[in-house]
Order: sequence, then structure tokens, then C-alpha cells
Amino acid sequence: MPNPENTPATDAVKLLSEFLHEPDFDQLSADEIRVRLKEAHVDIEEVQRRFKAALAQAGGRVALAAAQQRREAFMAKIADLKNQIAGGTELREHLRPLVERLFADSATAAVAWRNFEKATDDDLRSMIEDMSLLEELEKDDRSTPQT
Amino acid sequence: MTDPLRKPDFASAEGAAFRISKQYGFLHPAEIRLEDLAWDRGVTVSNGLLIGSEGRLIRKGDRGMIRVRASENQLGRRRFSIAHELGHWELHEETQWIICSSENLRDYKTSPLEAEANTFAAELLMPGHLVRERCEKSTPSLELLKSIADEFRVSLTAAGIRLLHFTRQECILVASRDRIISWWIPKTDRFGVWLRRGDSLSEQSLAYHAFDGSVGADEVEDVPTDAWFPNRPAGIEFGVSEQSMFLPRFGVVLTLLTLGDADDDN
Repeated sequence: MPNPENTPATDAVKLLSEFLHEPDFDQLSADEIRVRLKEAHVDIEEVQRRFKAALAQAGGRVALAAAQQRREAFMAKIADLKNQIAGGTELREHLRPLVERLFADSATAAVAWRNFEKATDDDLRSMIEDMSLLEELEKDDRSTPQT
Repeated sequence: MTDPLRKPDFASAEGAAFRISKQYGFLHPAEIRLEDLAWDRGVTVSNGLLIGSEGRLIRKGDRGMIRVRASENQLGRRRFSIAHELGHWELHEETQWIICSSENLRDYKTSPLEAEANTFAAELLMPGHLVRERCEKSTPSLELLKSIADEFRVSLTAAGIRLLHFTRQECILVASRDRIISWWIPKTDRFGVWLRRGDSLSEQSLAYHAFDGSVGADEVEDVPTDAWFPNRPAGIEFGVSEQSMFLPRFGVVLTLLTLGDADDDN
């Protein structure tokens, strides 16, 4: 084995090539592989780090693309519901059962209700909309098979 | 139940944002599509304006709903608001609903919940490893603040607070409307001085003149200490360097004050 300190880059490539084509490659332990790669001046930790980052990036893109698709489908589906809420008049009457269903804990529901009583009609409308959407999301989750 | 008097856990908030960035393999935060990220975390960002507050989160089990006041054409502000509410979602499982004001989105001290949500949002959108060095090595300025806001697609206020966090100089960020101080945020209280919300701007300040356009955003001037701190405790002397810019869209003048010891060259 040549001295790694004096090994030119071309020799390092040759060493790596020899290593990769060695017939007993499968017999080597992970530690031995690490030592052999180190001798060939291959920084396995850097490779691992880049590999993990690339894997995370690819996984993230797939997850977010799927999220975008589901989100847009849901938003299209609930457009009608939003229009119905926007047209409603008895906002506070509409809100009370939603608050009670949403906040199972009665103390939290009471606090929420007190705050809503002070809210403007516009904010109440958006609150009803958000709570109704949450309920729709729950239904959507139940009806969508998990992948 | 969250103890409202506890100290904010900044490390956990930063750690949570860092883990999410790593999990999704974000190379640069400007690429983050927050609505999709939120959906993948279980939260829907609802469209439509919010009137009485800056942001709101409602939680039911493992589903949540975020609504923010800032519209699509206030991209930076909208992104920070969504990230802030997402911070509540990730960090404060015990809260079923949270309504946040614009003050909450600047609060890194008073409320532990808000401070943590802001720290989460700041780290997610302006990660320390990308921002810290340039803030530490550069002279604090509105140009630097604006470059951070532009690059990371956040509001000037959010970028300014991040700059205050990392710069080594003693700075204060001030917002004024109609020549009256709306809010101010100091880096620390090293000099033991303060401003008062509702106080009128001094004619000696650049901010006063920025409202009529007679002072440009690129002007940096040493101003008399009394221009900003006429009521400072006796015997406390320091130099004040000021830079102010008018933001016509909001009708606000944003000011960066850099405070230095009296014999410093700011």
C-alpha cells in the first residue's frame, strides 16, 4: 500500500477503483471499508452528510408536493362551505355549538365564548369559517385512506 | 398548563425550527412554501383577511387552522406571521387557540409563548447559521436590514429584530407614525435608557424629517443624544448614530439608532 501522504490524486482514484472492484468486497466490515476509503483519501463522513442532506431534500420535496396537492384539493372542496358561512346572519347562534364541539374542555369553551362575544362580526365570521373548516378536515381525514 | 411567568425556552424553539429545516432538507429558507409545510405538519393556512388581530391558531387534536391578517401582497409580513403561528403549533400543544397581535409578533421578552413562537419563526425563516456572521461582522444599517428582509422574504421588522439579536453593537429599532413613536425595541439595556410609545419625535432627529422626504434612507448621521433621549438619567452620556427611512406603504418611518460610548467613533 503506498504512503497516503505521498499519494497523488490519480493514485487515490486508482486505489478507490481497486477497492471497488475487489472480489472480497462483501467480506469487509463497515470499519474495514472506512479504513480502506480513508487510505484512498475518500472522506466518507462528508459523503454520508451530503447523501443524507440530498435524501432529506428529496423526501421533503415529495412530502411538500403531496401536501400542496391535498391542500389545494381541500380548498377547492370547501369553497362552497365558505360561501354559505359568508352569507349567514346569526353569527353568534352559529358559533356557540361550534365552540362547544371544538373545545371539549368546558372551561376553555367558556373562555373562548367570552372572547367571541366581544369580537367584531367580521372576526366572528372568520372564526366560524375556521372552525367549520377544522370539522371538514376531520371528516376529510376520516374518509381519506392513509398512505 | 403553561406557566405565564416562566422564562422563554429559546433553545427548544430554535431546535424545533432547525429540526424541521433539516427534516425537509431546505437549502435556503426563501424556498419554503409555508402553506404546504404547515399542511404537512397538520395545519391549514386559511385564506381571507383577519381584522382584529395579526394571526390566529385554532387547534383540534392533531389538526389546526392558521389565519393571518397580512395579505398576499405583504409577503414578508405574511410569511413571518404564518411561521409564528406554526411556532405555536409546534411548541405549545397545550393551547387550543391563540390570537396574536402585531405586538406579540415583536415580543421576545414579555410573554414566553410569544417569545418562543417568534424565535421559532426567526430561526425557520432566517437561520442563525446564514444570518449571524453577516450581522456580527457588518456595521448595523438599514441597508443590511433590508438585504436580510429581501433575501429571506420576511418583513423589515422581523429582519430588524434578527439584526438586533446578532449585531455586536448596541442598537435600538424604532417605528414612528405621524412623527410619534409607535414602538421601539432595544438590543439590550446597556445604557439604561428608554423611549416612550406615544412621544413626539424631536426635530433634531432624522426620523422627523424622513416623513417629508427631506432625509434619505442612505443618510447616516450622528445626532445629538437629546434628539432621542432628553430624559436620560443624569451623568449618562453616549453617542447616537441615526439612520431613518420612510415606508410609504405603511406610513411609517423605521429608524435604526446605534448607541456608542461618548468617545466611540460610531
